[in-house]
Amino acid sequence: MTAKYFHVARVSMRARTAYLADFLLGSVFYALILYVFVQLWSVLGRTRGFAVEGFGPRELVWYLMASEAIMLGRARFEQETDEEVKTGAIAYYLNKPYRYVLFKLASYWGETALKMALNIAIGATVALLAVGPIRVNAAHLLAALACAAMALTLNFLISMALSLSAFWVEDTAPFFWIYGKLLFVLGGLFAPMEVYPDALARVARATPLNYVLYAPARLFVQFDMDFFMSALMMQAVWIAALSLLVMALYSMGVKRLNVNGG
Amino acid sequence: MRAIEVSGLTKVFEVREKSPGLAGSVRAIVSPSVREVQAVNGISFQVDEGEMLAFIGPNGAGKSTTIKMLTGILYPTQGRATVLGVTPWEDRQRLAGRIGCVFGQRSQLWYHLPPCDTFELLAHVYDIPKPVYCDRLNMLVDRFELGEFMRTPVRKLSLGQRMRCEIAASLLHGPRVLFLDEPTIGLDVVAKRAIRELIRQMNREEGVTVFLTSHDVGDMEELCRRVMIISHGELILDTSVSALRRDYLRFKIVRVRLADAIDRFEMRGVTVAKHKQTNLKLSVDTDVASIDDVLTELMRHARIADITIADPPTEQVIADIYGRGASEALGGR
Amino acid sequence: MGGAAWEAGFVWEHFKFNLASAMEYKWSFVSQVVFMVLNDFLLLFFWWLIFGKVQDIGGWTFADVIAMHAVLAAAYGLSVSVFGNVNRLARIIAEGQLDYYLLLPRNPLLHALVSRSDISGLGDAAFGLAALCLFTPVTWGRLALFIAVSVAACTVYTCFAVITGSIAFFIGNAQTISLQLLGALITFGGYPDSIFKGLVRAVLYSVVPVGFVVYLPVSLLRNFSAARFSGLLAFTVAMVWAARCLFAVGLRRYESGNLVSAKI
Repeated sequence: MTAKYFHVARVSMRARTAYLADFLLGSVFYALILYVFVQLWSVLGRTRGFAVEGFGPRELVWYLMASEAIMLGRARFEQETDEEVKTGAIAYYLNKPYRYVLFKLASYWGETALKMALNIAIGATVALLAVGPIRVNAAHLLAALACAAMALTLNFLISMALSLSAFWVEDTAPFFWIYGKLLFVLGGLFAPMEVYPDALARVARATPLNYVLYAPARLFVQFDMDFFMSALMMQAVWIAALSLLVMALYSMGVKRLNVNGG
Repeated sequence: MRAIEVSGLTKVFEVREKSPGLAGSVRAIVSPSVREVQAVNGISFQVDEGEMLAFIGPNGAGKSTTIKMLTGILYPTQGRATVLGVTPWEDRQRLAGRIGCVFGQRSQLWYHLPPCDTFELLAHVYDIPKPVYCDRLNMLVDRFELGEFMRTPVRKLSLGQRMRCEIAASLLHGPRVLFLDEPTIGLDVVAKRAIRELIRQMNREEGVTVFLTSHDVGDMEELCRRVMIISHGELILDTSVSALRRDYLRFKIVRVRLADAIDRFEMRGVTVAKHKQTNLKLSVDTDVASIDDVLTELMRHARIADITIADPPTEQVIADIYGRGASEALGGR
Repeated sequence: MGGAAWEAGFVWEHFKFNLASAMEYKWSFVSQVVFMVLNDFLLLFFWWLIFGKVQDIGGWTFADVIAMHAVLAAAYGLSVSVFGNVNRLARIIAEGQLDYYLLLPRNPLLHALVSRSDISGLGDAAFGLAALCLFTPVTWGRLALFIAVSVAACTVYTCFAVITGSIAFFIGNAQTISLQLLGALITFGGYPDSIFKGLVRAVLYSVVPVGFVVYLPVSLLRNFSAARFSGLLAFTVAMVWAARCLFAVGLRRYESGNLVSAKI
């Protein structure tokens, strides 16, 4: 039953490799940002007053390496879905022997896994050369990867919910623009919550965005069993809630499609 | 006074070749393999002021490349040319104010805006003083009958309306030479006739020199007195249209559908190219038999249900010219 | 110089024309501008976080960083709204779209640049002005200086884009490499130069001239010096000259449309 979704993921991965050269050029940006922050954090590390509990310049660089790997590694499917909804092409999936959302999830994961692997390789190289290694053990690394997998699934559900709103609204692009900005501010793209003022950090932690970037990136840099358990639980809760939302949106949208005749 | 003088004009393009795939791309960067393509090969000719000249040839013969050199878009590899006494690629900006260009496949009108806005902008681009511009615009709007759609966005115009606007736009600054590249491409018969009439009028009244390229033998026959044929970058014929018609265009293709089937059709000067019951395709040598005679003869056999008369396609004319001895044709000038 | 005034008038006519054209779609116009202003203000969030903890970054205060983003946004915004094709020149050259401009009695480079306008650039420029006035001490003199350095920075950026775009004359498809270089300039322009050292710093004042687009203008806003100001102007003039020359040299190699691939 799940075998066909694995197959979808593999095909999507292979489709990506056709544009490998383009993708590698795109990662120049990722390496550039890392380089800039290596410099920024090292200068700040020597500046008085900038002490972040548990995060020296080296940890901050590795934190950014992880959070940007996720930010730039997540497959962008929103335009495609938006179009499928707008043109009614989504109806063609109804009589296929798989579920639309699961099909999209599988193809999302195929592309994302590949991009993540490349990003981690490039990011780790840059960070290693620039600031040297941080201490991690295999078990902690595995835990952080598990958290990243949950985070990327969470990102998929949020993006899917926003995409499906195309059933009702004219243009979903502004939603994704806002989502990106919220990831930047509340997700902790550039800096961990430890750098944030307490009040703002509390607000950020109450949103799912925090579990898309901050949680996995922090676990990677600074593992903590309590935090791991609570993050995983919160991710599970958000994933469950958003799954229900996506399912509801999808069935409502498809009904609308039938009423309007596609 | 000559409007255009060309001697030994040559253009060679370098084409980079790349084997497929990533490895090929890398190799192409490290040591590119370059092949030379001779697009125009030492052509020479002259055009008098006020002349209407057709420049025809099959796809890829070098028509566009020649026009692009004459308008200053491309630098030639070799040779000389002057248009209105100016070397186009050296003094392009000065020349541009005195020539007009219409590329049938490339619009100069702004797609989302009405034509009047484009005209207004062009007036600024060409630095036409306001009163001169107003007079000129009124005249063109009147002559080309643009009034009814001057304020309609270009995207909503028909192809014929658009082409009328294109030509009017290229005449706004009162050019002395007009380059027309496929001006009637894609138009229906009525629109074609209107465009040709307008071009003829502008030539007669303002003495504009017209340099026209076309696939359509009709454009050439109805507009021009002189024709040049280019093939594989070389000028293979430079003669009058009447001579061309006499020598090469006297054949017409006549397709008829008859009301009743006939067994056979025979006539002097007529070759039956195809015959399927009621459908006939005839090639008529108009020196021997006039179209009139052919129709009369046909009607003696059966009633005619449908008929079309056409020129042979340019490609065939050129093939004919080659067939009749390119050496004799080359002596054109 | 009559020619300069003539060309300035030409640029202005096109800008008005593009603006009128964009206003045809009112909602899209307003939302593009407003979204860009919001977007730029959000970028300051990160710096607000950092300056909640430290007084300065290698000598740069919060006000300096805001001035930096203001100049960068104003320069970039002016460039893409007035010279809207600035980031697409490589493609225009490679695809043979230059033909149209070559047939008109105007400077084809300038004409190609002004034929389009990226309206969101107006949002960037508005942000630049607003951020400077809201977060840094402002006087008429400073405002005038800001406008002057922004125009110079805009010119340097535009010329840099022309130079990277002109690569297309020589190697064909140069859109990706051109965009990477322009992207690098914008990325570096968002961080104080005090964090870069050695070779990279040298690069930022030469190969990727973000030093003249952002750092030098900011240093002038911090404390004005006639010498550095003349330096900026001299570099700007040199860039204009270099861009024009390279484009003119490239034009000799211009191959027009899809001529080679499709018509020969």
